[in-house]
Amino acid sequence: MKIVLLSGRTTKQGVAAEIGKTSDDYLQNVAVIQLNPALMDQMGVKDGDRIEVKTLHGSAVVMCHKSDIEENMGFIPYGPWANLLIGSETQGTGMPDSKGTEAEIEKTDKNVESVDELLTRIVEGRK
Amino acid sequence: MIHENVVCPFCGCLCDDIVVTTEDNQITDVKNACAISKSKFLNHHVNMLESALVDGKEVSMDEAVDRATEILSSADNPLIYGLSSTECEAQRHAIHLAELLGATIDQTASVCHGPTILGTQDAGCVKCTLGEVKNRADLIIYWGCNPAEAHIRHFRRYSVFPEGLFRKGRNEREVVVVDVRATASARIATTFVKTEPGTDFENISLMRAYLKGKRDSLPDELRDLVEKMKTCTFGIIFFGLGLTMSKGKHLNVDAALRLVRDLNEFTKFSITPMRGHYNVTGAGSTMAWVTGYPFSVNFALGYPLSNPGEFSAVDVLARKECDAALIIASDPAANFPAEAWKHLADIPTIVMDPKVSLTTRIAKVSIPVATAGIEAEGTAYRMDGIPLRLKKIVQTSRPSDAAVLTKMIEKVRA
Ligand code: SF4
Repeated sequence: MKIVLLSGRTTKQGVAAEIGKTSDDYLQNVAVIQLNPALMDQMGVKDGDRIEVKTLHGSAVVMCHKSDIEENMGFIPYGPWANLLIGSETQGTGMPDSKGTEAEIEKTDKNVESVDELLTRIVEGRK
Repeated sequence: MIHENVVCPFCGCLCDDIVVTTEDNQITDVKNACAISKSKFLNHHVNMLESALVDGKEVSMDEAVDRATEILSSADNPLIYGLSSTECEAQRHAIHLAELLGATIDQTASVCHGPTILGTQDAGCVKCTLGEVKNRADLIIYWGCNPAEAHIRHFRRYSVFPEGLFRKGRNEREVVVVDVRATASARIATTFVKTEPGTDFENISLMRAYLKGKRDSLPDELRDLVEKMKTCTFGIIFFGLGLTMSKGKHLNVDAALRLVRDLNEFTKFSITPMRGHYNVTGAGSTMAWVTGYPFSVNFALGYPLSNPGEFSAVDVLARKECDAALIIASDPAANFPAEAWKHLADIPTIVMDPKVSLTTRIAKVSIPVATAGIEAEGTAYRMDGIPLRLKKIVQTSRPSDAAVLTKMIEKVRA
């Protein structure tokens, strides 16, 4: 399923980041994608199911949450999972394209990576 | 002990009415604060960097600072990045250090409101303080931002709900939210205008053409909005990353700034960016008054040059141009695209932070510092450019960012 990916702040993300980015609270509140319920029905997924999100730049597994967002969109809070999906091209501005990236989403059995697993994958993978 | 009128060191609202209670040097209660602020004050000691680390091993503070200075001095093209979550004195020292090292220095605006700065350099900006908004504004427009989640007390303190001199409350103000999705903020608006992602430049340009009488028709919602803007007594646009991070970036902001300028032919209108980190406005101001440029500055030639895209942190990292990095009060491994931050794992990276972060996890040297605004005092700039004094309410043996940077400067000069 194709969607336009949005990213932004949420209160829960802000509160959890102050507890610690390696905390379970942070994982539960930031490694998530908000989707429209109709889209979730079409995909056969329910609240809390895991979704793999893929873009040109990378992929991430996150949990899905119902929200009143448009059907063709998905929202992931700012954080390391959203940052797996956006590129580093800034068109000479310094600012990567953090909002409005096209993404492909599908249901998955893969686990949501913890912050440490994610760091290790990127750090190991760069060689 | 009760500390009154404490300034909250979290977001650009810089609320200065927080009441913090401490007992035995521990924060036990926080009043007036929003959920995020409470979490910051009450959890400031949780997940702390317990000791200075070099290659994961505990070392003394002096050893860590020595090692950091050696790394930076021997690098050809070091990068200094962060700054927006610390106070202005530390920012000034960081710039001085960058000058001595011939380094590139950038602050977090480059990945939030950098495009706002570029737009402002181009178009200028009709500004006012949040106090003027509270006292006078009868039309408040939030464009591409979601204060209900990100600047939680903005409505209550500065715009929608407070009792001002000439506007007494919610019913004397019209509130419009323009966004690509119906956010929590849209729920409190009188009018919600939904736009398609990536169409801000187009929409604002159409509105300007209509306002100037160069175009007769406009989609209903936009026409109504322009009419509201023209006929209000004092209008304000607060805008966020919806404008700066989506297609068009600085051009979106440029268009919005020009729209506000045009509106002043008809009425009084202002515009203010919703700055995220509590002192990102200060980081821009400090860099501008010390170097002449607000972000993305390079000292390799011995004098400051600025060029976003060339000297901005994401680009420098993505092109693997720096061979050492000093990260101050920021967490690029959480906030940058993975494609960019992974270079930090290839080079010796030094992090100054009160807490364990994703970047401390991949850093060569970690230096624990006092939390500015809780354990160290200093100055910070609110989103409208008003400087406020941060307080020290908890004693600590950890040095402030400014103290660590002063030591590094002494060592580099020695
Ligand atoms: S709105 Fe911002 S400055 Fe005010 S208390 Fe909340 S986090 Fe702090």
